[in-house]
Amino acid sequence: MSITRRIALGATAGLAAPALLAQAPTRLRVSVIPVLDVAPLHAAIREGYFTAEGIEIDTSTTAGGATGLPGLVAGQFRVVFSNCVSIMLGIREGLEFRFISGAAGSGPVPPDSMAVLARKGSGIASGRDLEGKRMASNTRNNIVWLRGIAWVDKTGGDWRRVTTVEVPFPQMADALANGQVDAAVFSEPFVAAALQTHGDRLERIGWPINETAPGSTIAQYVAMADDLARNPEVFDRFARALHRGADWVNERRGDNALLELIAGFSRVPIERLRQAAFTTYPKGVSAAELTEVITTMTRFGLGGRYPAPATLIHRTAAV
Amino acid sequence: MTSRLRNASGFALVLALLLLWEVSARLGWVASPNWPPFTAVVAALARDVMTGEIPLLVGGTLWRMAAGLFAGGVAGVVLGLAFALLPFVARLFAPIVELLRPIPVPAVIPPLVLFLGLDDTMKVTVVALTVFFPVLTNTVQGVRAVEADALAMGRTFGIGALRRALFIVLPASLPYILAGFRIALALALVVAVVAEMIAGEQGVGHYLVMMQFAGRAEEIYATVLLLGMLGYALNRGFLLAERRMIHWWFALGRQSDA
Amino acid sequence: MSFLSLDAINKSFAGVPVMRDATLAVREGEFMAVLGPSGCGKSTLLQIAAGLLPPSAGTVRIAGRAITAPPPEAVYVFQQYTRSLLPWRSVRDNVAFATEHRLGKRRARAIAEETLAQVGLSGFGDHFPWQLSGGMQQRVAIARALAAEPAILLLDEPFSAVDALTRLDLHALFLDIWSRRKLTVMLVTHDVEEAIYLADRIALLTYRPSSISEIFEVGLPRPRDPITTRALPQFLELRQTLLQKLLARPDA
Repeated sequence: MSITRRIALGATAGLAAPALLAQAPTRLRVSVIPVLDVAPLHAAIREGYFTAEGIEIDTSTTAGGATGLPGLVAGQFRVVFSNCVSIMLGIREGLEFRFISGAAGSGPVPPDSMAVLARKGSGIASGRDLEGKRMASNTRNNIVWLRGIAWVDKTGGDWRRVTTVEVPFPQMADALANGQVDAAVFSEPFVAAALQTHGDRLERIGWPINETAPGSTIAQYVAMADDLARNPEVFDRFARALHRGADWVNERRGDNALLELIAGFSRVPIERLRQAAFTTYPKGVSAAELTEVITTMTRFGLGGRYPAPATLIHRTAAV
Repeated sequence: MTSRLRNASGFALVLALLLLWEVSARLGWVASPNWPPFTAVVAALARDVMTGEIPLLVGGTLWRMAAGLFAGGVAGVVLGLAFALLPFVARLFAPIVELLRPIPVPAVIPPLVLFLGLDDTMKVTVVALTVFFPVLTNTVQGVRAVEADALAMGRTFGIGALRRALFIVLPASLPYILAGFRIALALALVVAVVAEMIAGEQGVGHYLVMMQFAGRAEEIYATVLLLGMLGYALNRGFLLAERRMIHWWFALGRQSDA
Repeated sequence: MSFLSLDAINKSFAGVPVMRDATLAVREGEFMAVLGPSGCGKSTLLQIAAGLLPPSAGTVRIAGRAITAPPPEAVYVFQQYTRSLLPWRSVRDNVAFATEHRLGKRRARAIAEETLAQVGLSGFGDHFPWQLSGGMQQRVAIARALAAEPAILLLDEPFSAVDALTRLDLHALFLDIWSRRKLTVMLVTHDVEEAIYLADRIALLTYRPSSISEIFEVGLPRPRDPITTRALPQFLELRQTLLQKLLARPDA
């Protein structure tokens, strides 16, 4: 993947403004996860939008959110892509994260980019059926877990009586099909993959986002407050390029061009991407959507003292 | 003759297992997309070898492994010699070493990330740490096994301490040191890949994570297969080098057997 | 005038005295044997004489000079050739090891070939020690000692680890070298016949804490012959006296 990125940079360098090329580009290390949600970032890299802003992006893929946010605090990254719940939990602990851009959200109607799956014929169809049983989430206390738990509650189950088990996305379908768990909250493209490969044994029993919070937020880009205060124009340039990438992606929803871009950076086979449900790619972050997340978190045991959401949104995300 | 037969039978078992793999996947005995047939895995491996991607990644991983092996190995031998020959060094460092030794290396990766970042420095350090302890332990053991008469022989000919260390102690403990390196070599490859899986877009470890997220079972098994072959080749190569470097040790072993 | 002198040597290990007031003077060019039963501290005395082990009290002098470290004049030859020869070095390089730190590798190798020839090992330079028989390995050790051109050789039962015939062979070789090179030799041994056959004088070492109790003049004519010398009445008489002394120990 680093090869393709380097080639992409080389190919697009010619398009950049000469004045900006004259000075050494600002190197920004961004922590990402190899999922569909980061398509705008990769579009902006490939289309040369960052180069045009005098920014060189160095992506670092982490297998989960685990090293991203701590790496931001430690100064390993300047920007981190992460899910909203993990970010909020960091903020609750006093970490000075600021939202610099939206990344992924859900549409107002199904399909979601997440789904609850169960084994066919297991008789499990609702949160109520899951009481005393095991449900898989890729990580505890993240957005996938939160929406899954909210779905259990919404469909008549007592979320406290459902055991959540951490299973990485790549192993989730096997764990569910083999009976190690009774239900699992998947995120795309793992929903499409699971139904494609285990379709004879697994079925979708719920849309965890649209049944609990349609049109809500999923993930954002964050940076540290002191870095933003010291280098505001770097992040202005970053957000400008990223948002051009989001435009590029949004203009091509359902297009082959977008699927090829995603297949390129994620290595997910393109046939599978055709089956996958996509998130929305918002540029901004709103106080209202953050408030919804905090309210839901508080309801399901992640309450605490959170700052007013509006104070957490950097100017680049106030669009 | 018998050993050749034994080798052949071991090889036959490997072939039988590969055949079982192929058949179990083709006939659906193990019905999971995460259990692709062996031939499909080999095809995936060949594909990514041809594009040049795998050779590049393997090269990077091996480079990091080698750098860590060198750094950790040299440190282990030097400190091991110092431990065994200079009592005050042993008194000073032994408690720290004993405290750090049992810590599994993956557990120290997060603090290392904090201090050393996500790039080569961190990954090479992780490998070096892994290599350091077995080499150190074996070096100390090797130096303790050096014949007192051999050292006294050096003194009676008026040979200085440094020269005795280099020309008597070091060669005499080389069989032990190399045994430490052999243990370290197996660990070094594993740890280099694990470190690459944590973060940063480098090497075979990152490729493995990518392919897991992309749900590409064939590439995942291709990587596992590749790591197995690499580990095997490294070990065989090392054994050959060891036979050459300490032929006398093996010769003495055979003599006492006879 | 004594060339090697041990003056009132005391030695304790962990507070336990093993040697008390051992005094011995070896003349230049003399073959001195130190005879004692196993475990009486013969090797300890020899290592102190070689400067390999510091005495707890007393002085070692070589050519009138008090020594505290291995002196250049003296070389120690070990009982166990398998432990003192370096198995990773060829026979030639083992012998060269004695001098290469002073003379450089090339010169040391040339000397090694010469001394190997003197001990009857020409043509074995490329072998490794462990490819040779025990007697040949001990010859390598002797060649190595000779390569350093010492004035004094300190021999720690070097003939005890080989079979009886090889031992006679080595005795002859060694006597020849000793007379040609005019070496001063101090040999420790528990073998009465060996001591009589080789030495000019024999010092008797008592049990722990050990010291030199008596010194016997051998007085047998040289050159000595492995068969006829041993049949001389003088030889048999001395052998009887020494065996009686050794067997008459209070705790024996």
